Amino acid sequence: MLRVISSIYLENQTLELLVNYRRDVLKLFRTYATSSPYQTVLMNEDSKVRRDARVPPQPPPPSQPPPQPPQPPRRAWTFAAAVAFTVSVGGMYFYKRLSDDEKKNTEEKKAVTESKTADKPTVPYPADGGQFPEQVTFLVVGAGTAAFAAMRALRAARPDAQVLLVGEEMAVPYMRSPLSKEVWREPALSGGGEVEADRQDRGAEETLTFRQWNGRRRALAYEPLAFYTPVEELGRGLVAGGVACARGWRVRRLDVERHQAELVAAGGRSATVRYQRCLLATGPAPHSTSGSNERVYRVHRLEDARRLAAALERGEAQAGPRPLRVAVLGGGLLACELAASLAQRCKERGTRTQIVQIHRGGTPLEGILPAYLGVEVSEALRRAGVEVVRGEEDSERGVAEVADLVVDCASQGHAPDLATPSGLETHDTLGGIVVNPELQARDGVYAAGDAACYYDVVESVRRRVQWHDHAVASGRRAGENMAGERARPYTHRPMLWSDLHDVAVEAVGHVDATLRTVAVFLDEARGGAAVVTDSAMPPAERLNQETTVGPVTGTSVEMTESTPLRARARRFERGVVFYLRGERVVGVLLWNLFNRVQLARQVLAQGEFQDLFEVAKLFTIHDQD
Amino acid sequence: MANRSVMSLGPGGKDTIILASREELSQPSSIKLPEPEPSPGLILADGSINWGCPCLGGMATGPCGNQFRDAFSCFHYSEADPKGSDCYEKFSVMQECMSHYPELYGKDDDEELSAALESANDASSANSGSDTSHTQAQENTVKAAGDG
Repeated sequence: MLRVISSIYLENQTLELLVNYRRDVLKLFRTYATSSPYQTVLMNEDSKVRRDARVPPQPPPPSQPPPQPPQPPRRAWTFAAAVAFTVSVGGMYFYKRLSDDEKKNTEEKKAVTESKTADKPTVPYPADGGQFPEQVTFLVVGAGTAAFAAMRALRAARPDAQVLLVGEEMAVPYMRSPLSKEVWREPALSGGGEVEADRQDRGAEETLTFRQWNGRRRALAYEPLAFYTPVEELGRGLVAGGVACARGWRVRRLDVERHQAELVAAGGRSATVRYQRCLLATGPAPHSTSGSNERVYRVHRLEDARRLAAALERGEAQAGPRPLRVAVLGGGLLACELAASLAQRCKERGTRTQIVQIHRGGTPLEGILPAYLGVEVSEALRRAGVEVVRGEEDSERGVAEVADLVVDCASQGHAPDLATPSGLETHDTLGGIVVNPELQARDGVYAAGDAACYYDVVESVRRRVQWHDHAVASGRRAGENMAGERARPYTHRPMLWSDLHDVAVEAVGHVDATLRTVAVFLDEARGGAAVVTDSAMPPAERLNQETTVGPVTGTSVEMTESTPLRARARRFERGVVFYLRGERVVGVLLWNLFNRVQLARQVLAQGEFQDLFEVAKLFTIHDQD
Repeated sequence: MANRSVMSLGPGGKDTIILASREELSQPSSIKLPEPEPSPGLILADGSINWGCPCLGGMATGPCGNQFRDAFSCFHYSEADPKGSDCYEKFSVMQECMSHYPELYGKDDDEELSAALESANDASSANSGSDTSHTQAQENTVKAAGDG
């Protein structure tokens, strides 16, 4: 630390202030150096360098790139120093204000806590519809990732504006992707013992943290409760601008012509809020599980994950000689990640709980992966301890009946309930609210994230994407468009990331299993002999015959269907898959390759190539990270 | 080309797989991709402040966002010597606001921070004056989830 300080000191004499106010400077600096546990990953999570998830997390090395964008150094430091100088001025007010603030927060949190108790009716926040402002500049329906990203863009562009987020959950906006990943390593998820007491005291969603890729803990919530202006004070304070978050409220309908929204909440509460512009960022449309019963869980929301975690612990505690059986329904990313996470959790805790994943169709992830890689995923899940079963609806029900707990990751709603009553078009096959390339649905109404079905001008297709990165980027673009005079199209190529036991997948662009693909994999055994033995072949189910494509010349390969799946050596260790629409590369999938997403984006930007093998070489597939 | 084999799988043979040796994959590629477009940093090319920069975290959008903007703008455009010395009042207003939100602005974690500072310092001295530098540091590996 001293070294840092002194080197800065040398750069600018004004920085001698740092000597006296170092700690305060650090505090301040960190608030915009994004190292706070509440650091919002909306963008800058992406500035990290990912490592192989199979390697145990380690503290970030000093050489790790800074999460902040480069900026003339002395300016930042002079600024920090100058701010530090004033710290003591604010200090005298500090304790008085702090106590007032705490009182206010406690009252609000009490309402949150009460609503958590299962037997009591939910008390939304605000508890009374009359506490809503009559009019806001921007109304954001939903309080997830897209909503939060939009809020930031709106606030950045229009500091004077009032932004009202309306979420159905009692939680303030939080990151959803860890719900199928990291949170299952957290004992606090189920909320037992002291943790529970702490949770009750502070409000659950603010305290749950998880250990992220670099070993650092971060909060699930993007910002703590204190970040948000109380709803009843929005637009009523000395400063006009602000952001408030109503929780436990649902927007039932928009009157698009009048620019107003009807809000409802439990206990017959209702309110009407006028807006200048409105964003629909409702996330994946919630879907009531068919034949819903108490054994059926989902992981759509944090509270769902908590309930499931608690049920698992109860079930494990009560399990007799027969181990607890958990059926995960679905073959998508959510189901695969959750099954792997649950299996991992059971291994770590030494429970005998069995995880069965039941998917329809040929292989897991068949929407995004070519079948031969789907089989690899299936194998990885088995190695993780998951029993992977291919089932039709009947057998699904069958297995679900013998399972003690069922987690439904397959059912999904079509579009937000408010769409049709509000006169908003939804897409028949893709689902979601139909928007133009600028993410606009109707006059003053926009949609982003999972809720949007947008026209992608880059590929000239209509798309609906349900990835975290898409939620961030489309939310931001929608916010920019809502705040600005001129609207720009949403052209971001979204990416996804998933670790499934010992298989790590990253993808950018349009990875759709129906597209033609060209993949290049490293074959360690290759070198001399050109013959590929059948024991090394991908599973036979979908193999046709060998052909030669484009400028690539290949050797002949004989395929047989005789090799049992499990006896087979792992074939596809490291490689890159290009997804093509016509001759254009529209998606890139990295298989056990890290830190190459930027490169993949460059490939997408160029799009057309003579020889994809030459492109694959750029990815240094042979180079172990 | 003995070091490569090609096969076609999937419906209609739509999925081509090329298996290649380490030797072949480590040959230089004949392709040179255009440089990626740098993403804007905190200070834009025209010298103005990019309030939408993700690097600001919740600073410009949080409850003291306006005060922060006033103070930082004052500082950024300050021509006083030392720079920013004419902005103490604005900083003071910002600091007063921040003192109401210890949860947001009162975090203390020197270890993490020193690492961040050190690398920030290194990065910027290697790159001083430049408003952007799109390096490995900003490689877009957003941890995205197949959420839903």
